[in-house]
Amino acid sequence: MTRFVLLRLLQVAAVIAIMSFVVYALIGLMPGDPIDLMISSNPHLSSADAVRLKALYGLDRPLIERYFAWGRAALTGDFGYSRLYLQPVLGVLVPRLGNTLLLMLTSLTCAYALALPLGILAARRPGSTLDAAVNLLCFAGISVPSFWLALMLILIFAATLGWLPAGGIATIGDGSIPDRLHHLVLPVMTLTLASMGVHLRYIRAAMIETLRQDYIRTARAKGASEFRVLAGHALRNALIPVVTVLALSFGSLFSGALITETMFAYPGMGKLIYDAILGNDFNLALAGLLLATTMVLLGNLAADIAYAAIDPRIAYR
Amino acid sequence: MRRWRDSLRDKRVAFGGGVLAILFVAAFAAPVLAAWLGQDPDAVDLYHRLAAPSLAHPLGTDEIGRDLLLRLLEGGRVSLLVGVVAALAAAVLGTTVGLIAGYRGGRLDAALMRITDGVIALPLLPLLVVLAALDLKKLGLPASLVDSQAISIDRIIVLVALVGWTTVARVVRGATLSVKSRDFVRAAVALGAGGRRVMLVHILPNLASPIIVATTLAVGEVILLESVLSFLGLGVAPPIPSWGNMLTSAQETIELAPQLALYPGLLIFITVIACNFLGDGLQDALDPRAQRRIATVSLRPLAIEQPADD
Repeated sequence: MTRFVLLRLLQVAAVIAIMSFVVYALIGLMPGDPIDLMISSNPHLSSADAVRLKALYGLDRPLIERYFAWGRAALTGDFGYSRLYLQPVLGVLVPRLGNTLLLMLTSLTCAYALALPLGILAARRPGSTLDAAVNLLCFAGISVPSFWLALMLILIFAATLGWLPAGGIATIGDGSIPDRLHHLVLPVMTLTLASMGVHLRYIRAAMIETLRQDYIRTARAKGASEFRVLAGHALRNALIPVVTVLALSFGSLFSGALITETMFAYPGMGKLIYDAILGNDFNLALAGLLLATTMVLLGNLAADIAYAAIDPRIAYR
Repeated sequence: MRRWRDSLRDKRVAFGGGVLAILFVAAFAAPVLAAWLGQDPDAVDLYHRLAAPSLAHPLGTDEIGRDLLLRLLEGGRVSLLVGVVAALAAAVLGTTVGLIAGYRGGRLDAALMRITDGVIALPLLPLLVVLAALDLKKLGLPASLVDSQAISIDRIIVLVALVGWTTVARVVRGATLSVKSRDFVRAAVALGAGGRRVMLVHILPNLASPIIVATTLAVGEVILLESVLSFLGLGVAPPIPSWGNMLTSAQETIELAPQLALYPGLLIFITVIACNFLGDGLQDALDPRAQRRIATVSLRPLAIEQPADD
């Protein structure tokens, strides 16, 4: 088990290393040149200064050499300076990471809190009205463009009814918990509804499959209560494919968070990365992308480890 | 052929196929409708901005006075075209990967599937934002091409195809594994057919159903991706309309003219749900024995081995 986790952590590190090089190279291909940007903001700089600046920042050296210089600094925790926020990159990223994790984990919890009971109830009677409704909900969740869902929720709950704030993380000058929660409702609602469909679909399908098994009939025959049959015997087996989907879903959950954060002006990692890319803040974009990927891969790993808890037949090697 | 006819009896296929057919006909008949209404979808009319529905403008006008109905249909043509072309490109890529992985097996299979799983697990949207923001001139593409108006459409097709192939690859690999042990494939190998011939002539035709199903589902996925990138300003670039970029401008006038935000999104939603219904229904009709999609996704986590008697 320890060996499995260590091996997987090594794999994560390898993926991050490859990703960092690819993204580093790609960012060099983005429009705009960091030195040009400096010059355009300072009329006193001449073209000779530009050449000196290029040498100073090492931009006259080949890509591979620059990448290794960046990598060495990054390993010591120095990701450079953010152009947009005028702070070290890590100082910008860390508070945003907390906000994004709050959004993502709350939404995921809400999605499962809704999808588990709905999926189980639907699976008990496949083909019933409730099942048809749940199935429709799955398709709707999978098919809805989340940015449009956000727009519609803003239109209904913020613009028309005025119940909830349309964006931001807190009212200015009010950092109390109820106020923060109030601002969290619409983003969480959007991300929950947009990500729930996939999970609901797999929970329902896996439960239908499991409830057909002989051991369920055995459990019923020996007089186990309906709750015990569903929660004790069926759900545990049904969760195996569900956890696989969960493990693969963190990437799309982060993509969903990027959209949600952008729509609600929620200061999280997704919006930060988007703003950094569009604002030519290369250091920030690079570090943000790598942090997001690390987060997603670790979530993936955590779900893989959860397998063993559910299915003792699985041996980790 | 029977199975195809039977599939029409499935409510999901009839609904999904019907809705998509109507959308396609409407979108591609837009120029005819425009001529009949005597309207130009690109004509700006600043005196009639955000107008209410009228005989001349059945759905009213947008924020610079263009006819909303015609814009929606034009945008639909772009979104549907991008969706279908990119899904086909993704299907070709995914079929190639899946076929080779499934047929060759061994280390190549393990490597290809690991890459596929890796792509599925990554946070794709931020990566697509980076790719969409690249300066194509720095990649060495000629300036005349990069500055042309259609480049945004070509680029978005390439981008979404690059991430949309994974589902097809998984499905095709699974189907290849089951077909490759059948007698006719072994007979072909015994007769001395080479790997490429076996894959293309003997195996590929038997994969038609799963490929069609996976491609139908991919169209929906691709349209969603296109819409969000266009919405973020990184996909189809105005003045070419697409449902995604129409929502960008609608966002600013949402309190004044909520209908501008309602319709394009509703059309994306309807199109994607129709693709998903069609794909799901076709799967049951064409491939009744195939375990549902649950089987194609229930891959084991990397490096985890289950006992053989499982």
